[in-house]
Amino acid sequence: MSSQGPPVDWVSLGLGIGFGVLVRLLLLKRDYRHYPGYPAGFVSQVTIAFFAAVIGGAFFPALVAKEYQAATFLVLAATQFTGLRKIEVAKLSAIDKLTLVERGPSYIQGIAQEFEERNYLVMGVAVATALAASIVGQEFGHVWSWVAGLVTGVVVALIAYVVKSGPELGDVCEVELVPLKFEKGSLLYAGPVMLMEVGLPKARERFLKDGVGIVLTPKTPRGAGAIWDLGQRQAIVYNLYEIVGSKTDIGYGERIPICRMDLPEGTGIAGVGIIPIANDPKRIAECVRRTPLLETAKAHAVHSPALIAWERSHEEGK
Amino acid sequence: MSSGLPESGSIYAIVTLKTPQDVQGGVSPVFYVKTQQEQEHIAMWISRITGAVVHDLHDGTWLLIPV
Repeated sequence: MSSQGPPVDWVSLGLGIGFGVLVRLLLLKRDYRHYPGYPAGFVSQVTIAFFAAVIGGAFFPALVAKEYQAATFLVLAATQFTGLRKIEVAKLSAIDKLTLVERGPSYIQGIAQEFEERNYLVMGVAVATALAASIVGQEFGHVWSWVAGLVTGVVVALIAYVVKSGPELGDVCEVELVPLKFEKGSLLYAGPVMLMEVGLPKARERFLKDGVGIVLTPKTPRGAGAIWDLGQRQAIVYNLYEIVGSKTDIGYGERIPICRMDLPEGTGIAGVGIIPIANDPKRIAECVRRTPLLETAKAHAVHSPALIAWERSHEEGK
Repeated sequence: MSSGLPESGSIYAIVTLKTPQDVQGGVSPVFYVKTQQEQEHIAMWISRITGAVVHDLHDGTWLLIPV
């Protein structure tokens, strides 16, 4: 800002940036379960969030000071966060090429989109906080500027925190652990769902000895649509692989965890088969329940034939 | 999955108890075996070496399919 303009409103700027970064730290705690890595990813995310908070915090004071050029530059800087998403997609896709169980494109896009979105959220919090502090400060003085900034910051940060804990699979699907079984000699079943054909007798023994089956029954139309989505099913399997592990390696292809629908009936029930490293039923169920519901899968649910079929059968049942 | 494995969807090898008159190789090699034990042995070795997965056709013929 130019030296001739009004004095810089440090209170609103500082509060805006402070609350922006605080929100990012709050949200980061939740997702470092799977991503980003620690500490390198953590540091870069907080740094980027700081830039977002500066943009958000400085935007309104710049407008008030009639520094339209500065405000325009801030808007321009905001477009950089789209680039952040592209970098995340590129990075995760590259990692996905050498792994036993893939995240899959839907999950990767979901994660990247969330990263981008969270920076906008940080910016929003910073704008709201700085705006409140600035307006109240001009009307009622310095002390009230602090009060207004702090109160608005806390409220907006809480809203952001609540909004960001997006829906999980457990909200829309019933998760039940079942033992795996074989029918017709070699067909692997989890509950009513046929998963695959296992030809090797030794592999079948391993599935019966160490394997765990999971049956997913949709509770809502959104859940029904979600598990028909292949990307969502890959996300479930990936989360399991990452958290409870899978006793598999190259050369043991039949042991790669699998998620399939109940066919040929198409009841909308899904089954999962896995040979976990940490065979802890509670943790396995919790892991499936806490798989994020992917946005791409949600979009699917709106016009999916599965959804229509599910609603029809549900109405008939009433 | 990409780990140096062949493309999925094709038949990598066939391990069969049947005779060459019944089962013949097209694009994939056929291993003729005499006992079920030998069949298991051969199929498992090829599976572990190549990463292909064994599927049973329940007529004495096993297919090895890349993942």
